[in-house]
Amino acid sequence: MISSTEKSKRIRRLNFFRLGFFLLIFSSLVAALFIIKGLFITLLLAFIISFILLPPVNLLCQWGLSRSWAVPLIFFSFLGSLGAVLFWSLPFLSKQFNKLQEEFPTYIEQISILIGNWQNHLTSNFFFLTDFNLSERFIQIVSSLGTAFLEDLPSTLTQSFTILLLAPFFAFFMMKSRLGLTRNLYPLVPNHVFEMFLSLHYKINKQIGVFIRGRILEAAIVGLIVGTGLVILDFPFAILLGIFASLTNLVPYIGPMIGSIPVLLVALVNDYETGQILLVLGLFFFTQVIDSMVLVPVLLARIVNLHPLTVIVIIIAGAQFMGIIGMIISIPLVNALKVSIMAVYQHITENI
Amino acid sequence: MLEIFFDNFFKKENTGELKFITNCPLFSKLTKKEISFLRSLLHQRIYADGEIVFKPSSGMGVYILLKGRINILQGSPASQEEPSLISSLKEGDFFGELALVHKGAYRNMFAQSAGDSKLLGFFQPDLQLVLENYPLMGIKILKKICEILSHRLQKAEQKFLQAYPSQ
Repeated sequence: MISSTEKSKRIRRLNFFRLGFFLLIFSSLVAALFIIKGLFITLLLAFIISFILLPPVNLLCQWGLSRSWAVPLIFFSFLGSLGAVLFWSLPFLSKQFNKLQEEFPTYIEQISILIGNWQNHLTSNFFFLTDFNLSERFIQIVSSLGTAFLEDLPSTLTQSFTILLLAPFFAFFMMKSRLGLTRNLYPLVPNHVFEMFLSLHYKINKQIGVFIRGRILEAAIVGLIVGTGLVILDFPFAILLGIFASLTNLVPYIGPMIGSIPVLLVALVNDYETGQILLVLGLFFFTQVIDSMVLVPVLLARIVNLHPLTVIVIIIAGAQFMGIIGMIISIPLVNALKVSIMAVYQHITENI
Repeated sequence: MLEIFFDNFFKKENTGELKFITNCPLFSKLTKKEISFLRSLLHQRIYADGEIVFKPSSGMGVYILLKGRINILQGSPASQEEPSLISSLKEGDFFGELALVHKGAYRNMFAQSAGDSKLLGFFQPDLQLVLENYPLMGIKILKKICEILSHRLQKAEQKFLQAYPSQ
């Protein structure tokens, strides 16, 4: 018979090996996510689609419909309604878009004239600001951004085309396997950390689900308020600016400010009166009040709260590593990391 | 039609364990459909000889023993003293059901595998998932847990009365 100390030694070695093996597999999967180009964004989009569609699917399942029917039903009605909305709104959007394309050069010109005026004002008041040319720099920046955008456009389009095709496909199978595909990893998790891993996985899934659903709903409502407000004020490019504001609103704190910049520029270029500009500003202020006093507490209250300063630092770090997408997804990622670290810490301290 | 296609697509090889699941008192009230959902939720875990299944004050759910033997011991697995054996479980038995509703139940007991064993686990997050998606099914399981609890309480009361008849 083997002595009990020898047995426990063997088990410790076994657990050590299992944990190492699991971490290796897990980290190589995470690495693959970042190395394979477009995979991360495809998966993210698929996640978003499945998180939006899961509640109605689950509702149908509760009413007794089998999942094999509920998933395709919801999935294809979602695709259909999306197509219908696009088909219906495309003429409006393309009209505004064409107009923007036509008027873009005059806007640039006007804005550079405006900046030139400011510069004259500044240099006449502050004698030390002599040798810089704001309007020239502005044109340089805008033209370099424009050419970069146009040069990248073909590759971006093909990439986003594959992403747009693949994401629904991924989402379909994510929803189909009602418990999530990550569950396939469970058999690899060693016994002594399995219960912790399970509760961690559940918590993180829940948080990310609430976050994605909440953020999308929030952005949609903000876009709706801004868009309708601008339409009522008879503002040019109202719908496009509303969409822009809803997208920038995905980035906390900094996003809403960026969202209001093009609106202000359009107002300034079109020689709006001060009262009208104040009205537009008031619209944005109103939207922000609604957002921060109603939408965020209702939709995102269940998420671990981070200090505003922490949030801004995280956004900056996200922008540095992954650009605009980094700015949007860094908050839930850090939240997940925080929950994980807390759970691992608790597990270790409880078992010493 | 679609069902057949998907069932073949995601086929799982679980034979024999169905009997243990339906025999477990916790799941005795569930319908066939609910059992099949439950099966997709359960986690099959394999333990080596002498491996600890749960320690005192951990434990997050119920385990059904499919194969092998599990010893429930009192004491701490880390301490020098030999822990005392409370009970020895055989195939088809289940343990840790209180941890489904109370994290850290079994405060001074731990479970250790004697020989290689195969377990089916059902944990708090899984129960939460059931409650959120199929509330009726979740209530059936919770009701069973309550029955087991009240049964134990009754037994404990009787023992108490036997030990202190005057009170």
